[in-house]
Amino acid sequence: MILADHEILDAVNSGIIAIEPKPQPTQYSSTALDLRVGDDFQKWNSKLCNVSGVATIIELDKINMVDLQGYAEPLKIQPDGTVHIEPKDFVFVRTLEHVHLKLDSQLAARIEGRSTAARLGMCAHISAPTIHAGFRGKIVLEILNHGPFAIKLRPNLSRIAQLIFERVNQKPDNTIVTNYIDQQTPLG
Amino acid sequence: MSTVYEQDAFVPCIAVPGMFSGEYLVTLYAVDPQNPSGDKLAVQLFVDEREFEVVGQPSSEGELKGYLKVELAPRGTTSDYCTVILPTPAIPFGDSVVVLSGDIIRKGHDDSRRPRDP
Repeated sequence: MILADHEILDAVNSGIIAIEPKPQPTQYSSTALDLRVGDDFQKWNSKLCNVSGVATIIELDKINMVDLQGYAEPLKIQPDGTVHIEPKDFVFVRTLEHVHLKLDSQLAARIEGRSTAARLGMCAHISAPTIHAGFRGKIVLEILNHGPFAIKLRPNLSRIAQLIFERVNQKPDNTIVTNYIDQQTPLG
Repeated sequence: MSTVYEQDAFVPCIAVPGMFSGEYLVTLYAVDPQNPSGDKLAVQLFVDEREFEVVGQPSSEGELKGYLKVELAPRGTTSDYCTVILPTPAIPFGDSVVVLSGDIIRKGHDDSRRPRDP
């Protein structure tokens, strides 16, 4: 069941949903809470990722993230303080808001984009929309501009994503079942 | 809905600065559920700086020792092992991992043990 605006507000005010900074009233819509982009936009450095004659292949199950640290670079900030997401750009940025869905809150959420940006061809995130009970942190938005226009975003202000909260039927015993932990664990 | 939640705990880990400012790439060592007595698994995840408590000074390579704040799963704990919920998912492990119970430090329960070298 999706939480309505006043239920989200109640949960935020009571600390069941912990969000910092506290959302502004304008961030609440009927059944969602808008989230703002942060200010440290990053993108993959195309020169490093596409070296002529060098095939860069990542085996996802054996990835060592430390090895990828040097491949990202900050997105250029425009003189007016904005950033431009050019057509075909793939950019990531964290939300301004730090979110904590406590495990026993019996709440989970989904991160979604917003409709105007979608019409312009801009995805606010790629895949993995579920914010599981127990999540704690800023949410990384993987922005991809599929459209024909460059899109200007204002760090710490632009609301390009929304969080939709859903009540979990029962308190989770553990956490989501992954391909790593199953019923064969030593913990039963 | 209850707001009471007293299951925060800490596990030793190492970290380096992440992609974003105020973010760490944390590495902790988890038990392989399929082979508990075998080699530990290196688990990596990006976390906000408030989820990581630094202990000591960074190494010459910029590596930090410290503790990652986790939640204890309501079930999945034995005298030897403990399932902990990570603040953010780890590739490819997911949202939780199994660690040695002896590695867990409970905030407010065993603070006398902190700080120590991870």
